[in-house]
Amino acid sequence: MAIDASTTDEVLLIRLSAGDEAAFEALYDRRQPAIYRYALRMCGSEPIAEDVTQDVFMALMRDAAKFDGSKGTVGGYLFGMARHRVLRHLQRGKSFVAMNDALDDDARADAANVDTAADPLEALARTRTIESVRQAVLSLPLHYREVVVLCSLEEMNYAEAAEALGCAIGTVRSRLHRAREMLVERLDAIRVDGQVPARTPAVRGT
Amino acid sequence: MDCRQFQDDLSDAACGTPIEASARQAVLAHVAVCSACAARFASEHALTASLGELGRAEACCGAGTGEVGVARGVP
Repeated sequence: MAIDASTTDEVLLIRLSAGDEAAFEALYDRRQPAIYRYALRMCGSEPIAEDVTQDVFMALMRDAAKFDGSKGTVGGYLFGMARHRVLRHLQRGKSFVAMNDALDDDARADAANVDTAADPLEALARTRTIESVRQAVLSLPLHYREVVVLCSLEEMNYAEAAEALGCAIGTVRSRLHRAREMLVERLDAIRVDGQVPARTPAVRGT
Repeated sequence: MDCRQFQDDLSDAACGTPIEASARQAVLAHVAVCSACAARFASEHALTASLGELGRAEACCGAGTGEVGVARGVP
């Protein structure tokens, strides 16, 4: 049976369990970017994000049959695996590299110039804004950072984020609200002082 | 008037989370008469816009397209 956009993740996983390589490739193409972005935003390190993503999909190939659809979605399952690996990296203390250092200048400039290449001043202002927000997010304690990454950057709803994090919907909501308060404070501080307030070590707040 | 009763809905409304129409109307009515909450609502709106911009920038600059080198092929 052909695979297309209407083929659900759950069907792909069943086919993967049966050894269907095309099903794996479809699932990988569909889900890899979000898993990679999640890991990158949490760790701030491209090499670690690549390791985490590779590890998640290797584990998926190995253990596809272990997925239990009654406990949640494939997306939540993948984010849960990614989260476990991200936390392991952060707790080892290996991966807390500022994304400022991890992304090269060209990548950041490209990101800011997508829509504003015709106006250099606007592009510069946009680059600064994006970089400030990026650093402010990275400076959040871990359990606040992850709800911002999932809900505000990956645009998950509370239920999806709760599934990925293995916590209650109310917990996601309250953490997100607190995280947003902290972000507003930190961005105000950046506007006044020109720098992000002291970074919270990655392993705190777990 | 107790601003705390509006805080959660105010944050939800500012970040685009769907909330009940009656709750949204209550937030907007409160914001119209409370300068502190109006300022907070504006700050949160600006934050939502900034986060959206960051999300869009990273989605199209390669952060989401990293080739992770997973060996294709199932076991």
